[in-house]
Amino acid sequence: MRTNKNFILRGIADEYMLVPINEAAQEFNGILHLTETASFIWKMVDQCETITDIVKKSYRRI
Amino acid sequence: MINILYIKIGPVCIKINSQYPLTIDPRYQHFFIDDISEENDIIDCDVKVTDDFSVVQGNLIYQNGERMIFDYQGKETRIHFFNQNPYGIYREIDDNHFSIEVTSNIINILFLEMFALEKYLLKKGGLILHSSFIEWHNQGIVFTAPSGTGKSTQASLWQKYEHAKIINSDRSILYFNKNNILMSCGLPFCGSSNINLNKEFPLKAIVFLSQADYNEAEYINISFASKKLFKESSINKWNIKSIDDSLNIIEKITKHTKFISLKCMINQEAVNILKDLIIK
Repeated sequence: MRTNKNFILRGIADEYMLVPINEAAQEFNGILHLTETASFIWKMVDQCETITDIVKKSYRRI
Repeated sequence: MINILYIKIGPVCIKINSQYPLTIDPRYQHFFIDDISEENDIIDCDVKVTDDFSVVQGNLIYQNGERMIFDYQGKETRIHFFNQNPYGIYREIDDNHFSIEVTSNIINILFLEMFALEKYLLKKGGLILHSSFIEWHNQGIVFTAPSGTGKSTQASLWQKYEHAKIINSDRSILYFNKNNILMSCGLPFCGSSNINLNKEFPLKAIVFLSQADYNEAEYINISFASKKLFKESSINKWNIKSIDDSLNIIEKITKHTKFISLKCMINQEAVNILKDLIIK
């Protein structure tokens, strides 16, 4: 599994944002606000092979 | 003989070198300065007036109806268009030096659009915000929102009822001065309003406008404010470093000013409820 490389995860003042770059920046003018859990999942996507792996890591985090 | 002019826009000072006499459009004359003794990091701009542009090299990295941007060995080249016709080329030479090839010797808004101001402003810790900017009691208030929401209408209401002065109806520069004070600052670009005073004031508040059939003003959180600022700022979104630097500035701005959401009608009450919140 891989995250979309047209978005970068960025923290601003303790908040997490997905910021469009490259082609995505031309199509979408804005940034997406992520919850802490959503940002954790985003970070895990590149490290995990399956959704089950992400769920397991999420459980461990809780 | 080299003709030299100095233009100062916010914290950015540009030395314009030209072998050809240049004429300054009177609407932008007040951004040109004679005394540069206080200026540091002056950007050099070499101007060539020509109809015969040199060849552009590099990979196309961004385009819209107004410009095509190429990367050549880590330096940007921009072809600028007006009515689908190219009228100029901007080329980065190094960090503080660029050249321009342009068809006209008149320094007007199209000419100034070629200066990549947002790029040099970013190095000075500043951003251009799509906003109407007013001065009220020696402080700046900026109204930002998508086009057509009523930024300049609210600015006009403040002028009418609070004797505020409109500095620019379309854009403002936000930057931190040498004393780390967040300043709002005028610039030449002003849409169709022709109001582009060269003034700067400490920023009191950023107001995010939306239309409503009632008036309501409230403080908003940093997350919402960051998203709105990102959307309404001039950011080179084809350049990751530029995005990152812009977000750093936005984050810093969020720590230095008030953010207010104003849902409003076009009347004096809209001014009053915003004023009450600003002076609270």
